[in-house]
Amino acid sequence: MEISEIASELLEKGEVSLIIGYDKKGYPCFIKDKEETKRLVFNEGCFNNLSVYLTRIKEKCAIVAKPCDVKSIIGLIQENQIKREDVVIIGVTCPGLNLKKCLSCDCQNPSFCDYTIGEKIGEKEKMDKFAEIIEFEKKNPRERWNYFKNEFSRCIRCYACRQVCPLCYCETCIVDVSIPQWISKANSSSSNFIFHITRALHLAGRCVGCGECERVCPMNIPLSLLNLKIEKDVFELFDYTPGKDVDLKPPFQTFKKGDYNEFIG
Amino acid sequence: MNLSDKLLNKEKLNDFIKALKKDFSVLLPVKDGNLIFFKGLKDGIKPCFDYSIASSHPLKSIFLPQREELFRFKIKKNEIEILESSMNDEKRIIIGCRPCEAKGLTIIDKPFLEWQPRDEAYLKRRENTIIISILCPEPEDTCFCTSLGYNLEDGSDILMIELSGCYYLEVLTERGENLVKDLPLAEDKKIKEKEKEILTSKIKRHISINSPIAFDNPLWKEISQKCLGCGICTYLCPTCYCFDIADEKNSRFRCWDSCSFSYFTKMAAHQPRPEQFQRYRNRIMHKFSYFKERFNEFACVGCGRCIRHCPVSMDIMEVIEKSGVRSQESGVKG
Repeated sequence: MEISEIASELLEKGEVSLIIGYDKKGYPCFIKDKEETKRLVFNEGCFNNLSVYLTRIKEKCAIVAKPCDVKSIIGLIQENQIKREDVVIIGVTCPGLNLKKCLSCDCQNPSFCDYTIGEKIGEKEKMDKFAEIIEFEKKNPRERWNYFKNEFSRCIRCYACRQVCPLCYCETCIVDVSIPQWISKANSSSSNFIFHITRALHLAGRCVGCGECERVCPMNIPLSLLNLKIEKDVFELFDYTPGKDVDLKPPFQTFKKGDYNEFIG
Repeated sequence: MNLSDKLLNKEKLNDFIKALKKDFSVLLPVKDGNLIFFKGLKDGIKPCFDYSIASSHPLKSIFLPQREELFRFKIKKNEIEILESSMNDEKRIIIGCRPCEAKGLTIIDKPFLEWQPRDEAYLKRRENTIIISILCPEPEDTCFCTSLGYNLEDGSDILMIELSGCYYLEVLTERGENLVKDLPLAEDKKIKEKEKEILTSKIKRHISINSPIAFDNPLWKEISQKCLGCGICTYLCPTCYCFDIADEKNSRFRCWDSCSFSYFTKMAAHQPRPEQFQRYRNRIMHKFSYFKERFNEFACVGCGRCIRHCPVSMDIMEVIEKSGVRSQESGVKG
């Protein structure tokens, strides 16, 4: 079946009142009308992770999701932001888009979905996801610090990284609080640094690596590199990969006796 | 004073810039990875004039820095001592911005210089900065400057046009003329009009922006449904000028702010724009309705940055077109 057929049926039966999908240009689109479902497609230009809309939309909806986007839907369910029964997931098999993250992607075929569109894709040779960060870890702390300081100095604090992040759903972000002012409103080398480090740490064990933050950054700041480092640490310390298993508790929502706790001393 | 157009041999460009450096601080577009920033001319810096359509920061950032200190203060028992910030009165020349960016400054001039009180820091920077823009090599699909109906010369002191072997310098102001006194005259003036025509004929998108946009049209909700409320469109816009004022430590400063943000206009007891569609509507209405009513022009230059960089591919042109057409159909005017 095509996405449009499923969407049309869901709307017709009244199972959902809204479909969040992609139009033929690959742009996000919202469909409420059965007649409009013809606009829904999936192609190589469908970069957006549409699950960012799930915490913003207050109605029962269906969403077109790439296998990697399903990970953040899982994250949102684990964190009780959405209920599984309130969202119909139309998964699409994905051969990989023209994005860096696709080179090391481990999920071409969606799981956890209500529908799956597209032929099953066979195993592909993929790059080691952590190769880039293993290389980066070879630099000494001063070099790493200077690298990110330089990268963050370009930040214009448009907060696009935060706004496109499906897991950045806090009603009030620390950077927007003015009483007390935790992080300066003005962009400066140090306040940019604090903003990005805070965001990255807040996403520890939660970021599923969808890479939207880096894709949209108008200043080309390599935010994925920072997130990848934390993803690797969480994997090594807690044997946990975000967005994989909806029944698992994320490491910072639970405690196990054997948990890494060297930092407590 | 008669203004006459000049020619600058490409081989002489470096000497020309070097000579300017004696009296001015010279800002040029410089490549940084895939980005283009205006940087001060220093040894080892290579300017890049044929960059893709727009620089990574809008030109406004040179005149309205993202953070600007207004004054410092000291609090003693019952007194506050104000320490004035020194204004930078450096004489500057910007070479190689796009004509739409120079036009953008003339739009920001209106609220900052025509309204009282004038913004002294902004005025000083405007007065002290000469602008030599350069005609775009190729427009991008997202460019729509011709729909706004302004002249490509607006806001520039000199408009540079690249020809083979030399630059044609269309001199537009007296202070521009003073810079190029010694350069040879451009005899054939038709060439500049021809080059401009070639460029504008390549711009594919045209819309009529005169249609009324109705404030209470339910369409606003529909067209802004995708908007995630980031500040890319406003921060990269050459004409968006909203700012916030804050005190931190002993300094009062202003910094860019965006009507897209959820806390913009938030007051102690009330938030007049609680939903994203109201914020998005405000941005579009400000540009194409409120600003037009006050200053008789649109607060948009058609640079297309907001279209190119929008994370969810919102298209300001589609929005204007849609809202204009539909509100005319329903006969609502706002």
